[in-house]
Amino acid sequence: MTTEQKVKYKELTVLFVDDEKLIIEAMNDILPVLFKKAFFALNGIEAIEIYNDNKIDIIITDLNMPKMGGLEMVSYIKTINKEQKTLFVSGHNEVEIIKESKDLCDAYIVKPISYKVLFQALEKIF
Amino acid sequence: MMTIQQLSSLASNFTVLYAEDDKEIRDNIQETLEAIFTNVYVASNGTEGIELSQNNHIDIIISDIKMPVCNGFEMIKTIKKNYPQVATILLTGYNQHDYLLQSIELSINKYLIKPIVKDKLFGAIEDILYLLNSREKYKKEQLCLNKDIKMIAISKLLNNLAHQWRQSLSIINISLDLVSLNKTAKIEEENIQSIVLNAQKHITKMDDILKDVFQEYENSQKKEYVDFHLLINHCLEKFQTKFQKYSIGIQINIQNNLEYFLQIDTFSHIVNNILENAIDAIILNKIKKGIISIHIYKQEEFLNLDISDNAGGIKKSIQDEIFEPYTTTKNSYIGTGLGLYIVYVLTTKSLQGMISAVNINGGSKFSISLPYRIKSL
Repeated sequence: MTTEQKVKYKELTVLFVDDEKLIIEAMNDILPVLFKKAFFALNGIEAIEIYNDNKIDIIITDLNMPKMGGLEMVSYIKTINKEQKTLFVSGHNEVEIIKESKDLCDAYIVKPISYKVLFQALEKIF
Repeated sequence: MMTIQQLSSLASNFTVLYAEDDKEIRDNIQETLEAIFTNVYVASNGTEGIELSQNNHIDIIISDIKMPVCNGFEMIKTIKKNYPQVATILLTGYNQHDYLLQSIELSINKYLIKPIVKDKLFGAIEDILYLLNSREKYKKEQLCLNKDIKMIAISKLLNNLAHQWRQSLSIINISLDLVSLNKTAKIEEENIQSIVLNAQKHITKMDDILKDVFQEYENSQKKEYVDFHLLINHCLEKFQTKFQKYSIGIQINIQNNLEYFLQIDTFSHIVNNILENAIDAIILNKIKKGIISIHIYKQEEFLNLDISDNAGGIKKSIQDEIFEPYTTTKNSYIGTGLGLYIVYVLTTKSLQGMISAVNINGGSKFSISLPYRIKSL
């Protein structure tokens, strides 16, 4: 991670969406270190509520979630803000689904997540 | 009417028991039957027929009714106890209703009146062969279907494992990131300890998940009733082209009435592996008349499987270690050194049996003994 990257991403506010509580907890430790601010949601509905009240630079989201999944949530958010930047986090057998919905995501990463793969993907977006 | 050749091509490996007390008729019909079927067992009375059925697998019974010692009905009744599926053709000199009633009771498939006319006999055999072939096809389809269902279950299991592992790996990755970013992030020493502990917890969790998956896999390998004839034929089919190309002969001797339940896939894997070894040895050592014999029988409280060949036997230098991993019976370019090791593990661990290999007159013999248990135990 270059200092340049660190500085660049330190300016961003992220919204991280995943239904797995353990992942959220772990992300809660690291995302505030890497970014200016981090919001967390357990499903699409929660994410949209947070999105409506805050200015979010990048949404990082899981695909399969109860109540509302990642694709559905992003399609809705794109109707509010066409320019919204999104990054999908995929399980091993979901890559095809993401590739089919290219217009919804700016980049994707395949689990497991680490800050290196995260930053590599952000490089493509910003 | 079908020709002998046409019937013969339908007959595949079906075996016939033919019982008739009149020598002249018997010799005549036996000749015709042997032109159609590869295996024809001939008896001159019912008792002989029953004895033959105890040592050989029987698919079709063709029998006279009136015979000394034990008549056709009694013989069929006894044999049907062991082979409820056996197909039957009755031949009789009389046209009596009494016989017909008994025939219905025994579900006789075909009933021919003497003197036997060729086209009537051929017609009856044709019908029976169609019946047996369609049954066989159905059995095979069921076998394939079961395999597919198992494969789907296993791939589901693996998907689940992959998903959970990726979650844990994510958390471990992030924990490592945090520790490595320690200086920038200015994390308290205490917090670092808890982050490391958390990562370790996830590593344990991954291990537990793996154990669960193995357990579930073991459980999915349920014991099933084995039809050894069907299983061995199924295994041999794969090597059919090699048998023909290198003119390898196969001798099969399977004891009848074996009531055995085991993990069919595991057992097939063992048989396939040993067969493959024998075939490779025959080819490598350029044996002209290669013979592989398969013998399955019950002895005391063990089910035994012997597979022997005439391919020169196992080299003395490796005899003591052939079941060790990374020992190959073949040229090191070809053998992986794992085949027999896997056979050993499957036999001893999955099937709780024993395995041994010895050299016998110009070849090697692999013997597997499995504890003989009936389903309920």
